[in-house]
Amino acid sequence: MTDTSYITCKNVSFSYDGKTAVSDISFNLNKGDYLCILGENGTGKSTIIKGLLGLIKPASGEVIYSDVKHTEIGYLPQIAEIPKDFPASVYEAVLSGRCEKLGKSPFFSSKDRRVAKKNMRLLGIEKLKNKGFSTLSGGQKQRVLLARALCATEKILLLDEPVSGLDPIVTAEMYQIISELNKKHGISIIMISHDTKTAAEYATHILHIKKRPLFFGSAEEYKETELYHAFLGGCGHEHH
Amino acid sequence: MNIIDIFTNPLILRMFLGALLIGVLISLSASLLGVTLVLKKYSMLGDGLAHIGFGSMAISALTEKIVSDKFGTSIGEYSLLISVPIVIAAALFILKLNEKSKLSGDSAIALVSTSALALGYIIYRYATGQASDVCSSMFGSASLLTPSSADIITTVVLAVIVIGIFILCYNRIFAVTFDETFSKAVGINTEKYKTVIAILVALTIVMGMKMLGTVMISGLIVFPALSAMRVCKTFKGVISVCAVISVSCSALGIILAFLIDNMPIGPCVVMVNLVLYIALTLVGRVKTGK
Repeated sequence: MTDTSYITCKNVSFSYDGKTAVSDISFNLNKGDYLCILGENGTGKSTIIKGLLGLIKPASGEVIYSDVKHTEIGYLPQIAEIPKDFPASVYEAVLSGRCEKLGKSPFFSSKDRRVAKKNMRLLGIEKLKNKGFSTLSGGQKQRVLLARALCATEKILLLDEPVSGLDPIVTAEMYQIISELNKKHGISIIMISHDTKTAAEYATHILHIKKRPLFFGSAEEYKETELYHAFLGGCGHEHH
Repeated sequence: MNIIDIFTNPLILRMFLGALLIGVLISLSASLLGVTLVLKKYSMLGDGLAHIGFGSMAISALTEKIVSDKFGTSIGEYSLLISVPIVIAAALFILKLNEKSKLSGDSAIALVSTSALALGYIIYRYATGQASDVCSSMFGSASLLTPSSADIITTVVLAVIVIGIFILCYNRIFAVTFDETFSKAVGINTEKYKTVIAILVALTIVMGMKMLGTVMISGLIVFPALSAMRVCKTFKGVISVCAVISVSCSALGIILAFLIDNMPIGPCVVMVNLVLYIALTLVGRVKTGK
């Protein structure tokens, strides 16, 4: 275990609703890593997220956090989870990411407000500050929720299918922003994705699962595997 | 009763101001919680708890009977406080039912509230031997309210508790209402805050039961929130507008109930709220050109 390892999973299994959803997962996330977790629907990716966030306990194995608490992970949920028409301004939504830092105090400090504003500037949404969240486009909503996630962390972002449902231009912008956060601001990324090809391009590490681990290693190594080629090749075959 | 009476007769003025004060405090408390309940799709919680409130009033009546039979005294005007632990217990029970068992929120509420209503009426009849008071417990006083000092003190204390705790928990309540999963992930104890909300609703119900009636109080929780959400798109905006709407409608309702003979306060306040809601909906339709 190196000093710069944030999260280490050792043979972890998680259960959901009484059934084993994923088993025997081992990987680690170091500072500065960009890890993509790949796998089809129903293969256990959401369960791993819940486990990493501390929402469920491992059925076996362990998750070790070093230099970071599981509450210090900035979480970007899938867009569908926010109720439609919820009355909240962009600023209110972003600021709520600072709740982790509240401690005993009932009110946000001026530092909390500064950080919220800084993150809105970073994601180019400060002009939207007082707009209603429900009135925004899909891409704008994702930026707001990403700003919120940044308010909760300086170290790790956990993104659950951040580009699903977004059009190609907005998707490209999103990947750009995430890449910048990783390379320029040194934030470690864990991203759940369907998009194998783009994942392999941007990520430093890949974890490919299907309830059990199929691959964990660097993105370079992944591109050499049967798995990667099958996934790519499979896209063509599906049209039969 | 006309408007001159209110200003020339000190007794009536005192009655009127007392009712107004209680009304304002109740509606302020109810409005804060209404927004959260409606957004979390727990609108019926107020209704369910109000039925429990009815049951608790029956238990108060029974206690009164036992106390006066056995000790020859009356538990007096603080009988309302017997309701507090009962309604709080019911709120927590409904929350637990929703979480632990397969019952959804609305089924849990239906189960508990109908049982409370049935059992409550049985106890009521046993305790008082009459059916007459049931109507005023459900719909509030049919005639003018005479708020006693005990009523006013109880309401002020409960209102300070509800409003104070809400303000202290505001930021976390917003987070839990907006996105419960994210809130849990950043370490907010979402169970604790849901419990806090349920308890505050319980206290608000107890506050409003006597004057407005158990059946009407939930309208006071839900209507202003629905109206405010037609108008505002930010959380702070909705809460502020909701409070203003709630207090104004209650004040207007109380004034009308004083001026119009035989007008019951609770239903009057609910009707004022309904008229405003319809008006705002129509205005909204006209604005968007529908």
